[in-house]
Amino acid sequence: MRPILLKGHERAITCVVYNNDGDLVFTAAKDQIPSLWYAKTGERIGTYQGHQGAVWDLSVSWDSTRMLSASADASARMWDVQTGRELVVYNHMGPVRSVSFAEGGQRFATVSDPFTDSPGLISVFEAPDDVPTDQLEKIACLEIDLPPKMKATKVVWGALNEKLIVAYADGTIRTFDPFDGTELEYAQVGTRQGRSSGVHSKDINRLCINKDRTLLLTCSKDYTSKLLDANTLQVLKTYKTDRPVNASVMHPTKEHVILGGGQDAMSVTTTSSNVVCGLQGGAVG
Amino acid sequence: MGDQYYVDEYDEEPDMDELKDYMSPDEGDGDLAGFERPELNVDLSTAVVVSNLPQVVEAKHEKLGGVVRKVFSKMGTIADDGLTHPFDKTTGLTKGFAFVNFLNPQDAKQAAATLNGWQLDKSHLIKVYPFEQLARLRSLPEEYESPEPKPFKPRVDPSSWLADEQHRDQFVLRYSEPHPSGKLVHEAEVMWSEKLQTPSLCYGGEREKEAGKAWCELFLMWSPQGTYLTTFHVPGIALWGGERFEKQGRFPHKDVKVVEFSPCETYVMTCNFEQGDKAIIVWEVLTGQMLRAFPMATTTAADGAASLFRWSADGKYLARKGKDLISIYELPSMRLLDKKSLKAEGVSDFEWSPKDNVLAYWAPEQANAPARVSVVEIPSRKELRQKNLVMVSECRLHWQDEGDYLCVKVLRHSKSKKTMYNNFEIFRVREPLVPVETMEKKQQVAAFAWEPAGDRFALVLGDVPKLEVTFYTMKGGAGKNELQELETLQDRPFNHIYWSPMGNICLLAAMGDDVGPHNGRLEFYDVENQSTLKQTEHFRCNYIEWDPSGRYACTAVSQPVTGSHWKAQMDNGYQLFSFQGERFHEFKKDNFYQIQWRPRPASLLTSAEKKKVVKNLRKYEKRFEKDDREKDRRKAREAMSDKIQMKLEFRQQVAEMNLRLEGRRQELVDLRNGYDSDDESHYVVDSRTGEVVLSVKEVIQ
Repeated sequence: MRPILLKGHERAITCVVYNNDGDLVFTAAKDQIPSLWYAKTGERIGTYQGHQGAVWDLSVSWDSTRMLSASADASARMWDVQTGRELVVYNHMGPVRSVSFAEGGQRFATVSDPFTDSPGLISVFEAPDDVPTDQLEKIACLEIDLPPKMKATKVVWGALNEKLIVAYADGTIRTFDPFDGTELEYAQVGTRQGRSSGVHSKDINRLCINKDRTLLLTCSKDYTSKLLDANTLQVLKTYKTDRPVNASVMHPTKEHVILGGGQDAMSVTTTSSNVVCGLQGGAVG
Repeated sequence: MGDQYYVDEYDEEPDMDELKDYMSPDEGDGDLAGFERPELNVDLSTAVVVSNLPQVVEAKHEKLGGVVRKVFSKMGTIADDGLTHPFDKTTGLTKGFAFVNFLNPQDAKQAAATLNGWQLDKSHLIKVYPFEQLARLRSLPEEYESPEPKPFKPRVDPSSWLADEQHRDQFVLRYSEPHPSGKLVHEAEVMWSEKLQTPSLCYGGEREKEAGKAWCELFLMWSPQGTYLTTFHVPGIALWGGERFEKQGRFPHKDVKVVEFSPCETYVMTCNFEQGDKAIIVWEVLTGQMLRAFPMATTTAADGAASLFRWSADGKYLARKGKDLISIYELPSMRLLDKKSLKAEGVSDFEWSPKDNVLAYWAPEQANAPARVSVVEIPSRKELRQKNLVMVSECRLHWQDEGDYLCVKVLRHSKSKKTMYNNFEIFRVREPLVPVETMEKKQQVAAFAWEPAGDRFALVLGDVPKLEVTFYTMKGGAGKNELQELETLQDRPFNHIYWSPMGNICLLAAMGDDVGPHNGRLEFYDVENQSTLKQTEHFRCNYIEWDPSGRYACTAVSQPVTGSHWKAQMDNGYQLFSFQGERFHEFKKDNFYQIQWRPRPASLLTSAEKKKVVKNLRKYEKRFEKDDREKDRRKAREAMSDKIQMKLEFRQQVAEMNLRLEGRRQELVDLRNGYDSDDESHYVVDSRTGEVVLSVKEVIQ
């Protein structure tokens, strides 16, 4: 195994995703231009030009034909993976933090930050792949308001598209019905200091779900990452580290997780070696 | 009783008729209606009672009174008629007590504090107490009632940790963790150091936690031989010992900042640097009894620590620097040795020898007298050696651990006072006439350290970051009695030296901000073989300590308990190294305050026995190695079985989850427009065969 260094972004990388078949890698960065790469060789296939702000999140449809991007320019955009053509622009009220295709790719959800008077939103859009893209509805079919000033950091779909799982900046995780927007579950493990209770005592940086959509893996500034039952939101395992965790992934078939983290560049003064990727070998079991 | 005698005189009502006689005629026509009775001055705070005076015949009455007056007038001005020394006509002897009335209450207080227990002559130790205390004495019952004897409580064995079968050492940790409620939870944990492994917990204050108390909220400290763990609290200090760290003693002294045990752990001195008479208190450890209290010395108010007392090596004497003298107190009586302080003209600093009752002090230049260093034996006060020095800016006294050598680092200046240079005056204290060797160095001295129980020392010279570390021996040359340079390490950033307690291995460290990027660099150096064992780093470490056996060293980044962190909390924590410099344990905590190894008492083995152990090391090693192997195996087995158990549980959970979805597989397929990723028929198997010629070999037959 030899690492391949992908050089293409000018600013900090925000998101790296594989497509379903694992032959393509999509990357997004704060430099506004997502890129597509061959997973095997590291050769860049192309870029997706159009955003006017940092790109925070990407989601690829299960058949790798369409890709969604969430950007700080208050829009989510749908792209044709093969040609790099911008298909649809979905305008939001504030910066879009996260975007996620539903199972089957017929719908997708976004979360956007609060901006001036408008609160943060969880939005669900219809995007059937048998409708020509210029006729797709650009208005959300469902909008859920977040409490005032509250931010959500990540949205994923639960098993069989039965619920939306949303990670909040206050360390809680909530699930919603994707059709009528009612709140279903609320994870209440641990407490934030003096504030509302949540899974983590500090911001949840990221959230990922496994292929079967049965397990959730969070990572948080409170130096831990937690494995949750995606159905009940019950905490199954806690992985403690010695630094804030910024990203975490589960092995698709084996019982391993990888956590990556370190201090924010902002809060680092001078340190010798502050970013270390720790492999928590066999940590799931 | 005496007090009765004195008080009754004043208790009488004043005779009004008598008063009338004193009044002048034009004052109210002799009418007493408007006359206010003068307030009788009942303030007795200026008076002290002196008892246990000798009983003398009339002829000597006056003479004794004179002596008492002379002694007490040293404490302050005595009021007119201030001395009452009653004589009993029936027995023809004085009553053996006296009253002294000062002008000023402070003088009375001082007299009671200073002269109580004064040896007047061979058989009379006078007692002096404030007059106000008599009231308390009067209320004492006439009959002596013996107090109920307290039920006997066997003391826990405070040395049980020494009997550990694996001969592990202990250390204590102090840190705190944020509780979900937002408050910091203070933790103090005593850990067993394990051989090159993660340390295991011995006691973490579980008993106190159960009772809802915090074991320690401020600092911790081990006593010098490791018997007691001292915890600092606002009302005072507490000592803990024994296998489960039961409370061994409590010493109430508000806001204690500094605690000094006598080296033998019999006595302890506490100091809170506050105003008043009880800034420094000396206690007996076992009984918890206060032996004597002192105010802070007024002469050196500027540097608080310097006015503290210092214990002699055997804990028999306690000494404090005063103006032109060193006051030496004897224990347990806490009386001034031979009733007078050691005269030490212009003394600036002193240090006891770590092994003998010998102290060394230095005094700077005064008028025409040169600066000097003096080594004095106590209690004989014999000056073993004195050395005069000129052009001295400052001296530092460094005793070698065994008290064999004393190195005086003399910072000297040139005549113009523009350039500074260093002299090292090394006293061979154990040799007859105490010969002194001198070494001069032009560079700045960054560090100096004697090898514990050895004849070598290390010296760091130069400017940061290009320093040189030099090792010297006191037993060099042909006669094994000369100071000789062993070797020099050039261009090192290290500004601190930590010798292993067993000697030979030296841990060199670069610490502090002035070493810049080298901050936290470490080097383990073998002095005997002149070789570097390992160069390593613990970024930003600010504390280094060897364990008492010299097997491990800990390095730590800590922050003060009371204040915020020094630099970045991220770095807080400790690391453990073997003496070869291998790091084997790391611990990080945002609020990490303290780590301290538990000291051990001095070895009971003679040096011959020690040599024997070293000779037969292989034999002992085998036994310990076997134990270690078994322990490792047992640990691995336990960890393994735990892991297997956890894995099984987890797999069970996942299987249940999958089972729930398994029955709804069709729904998933429908969502994907009828595509089933598990259906093998969707995959096209494409097999190709390729042929590569690796090598060709031609064989001619």
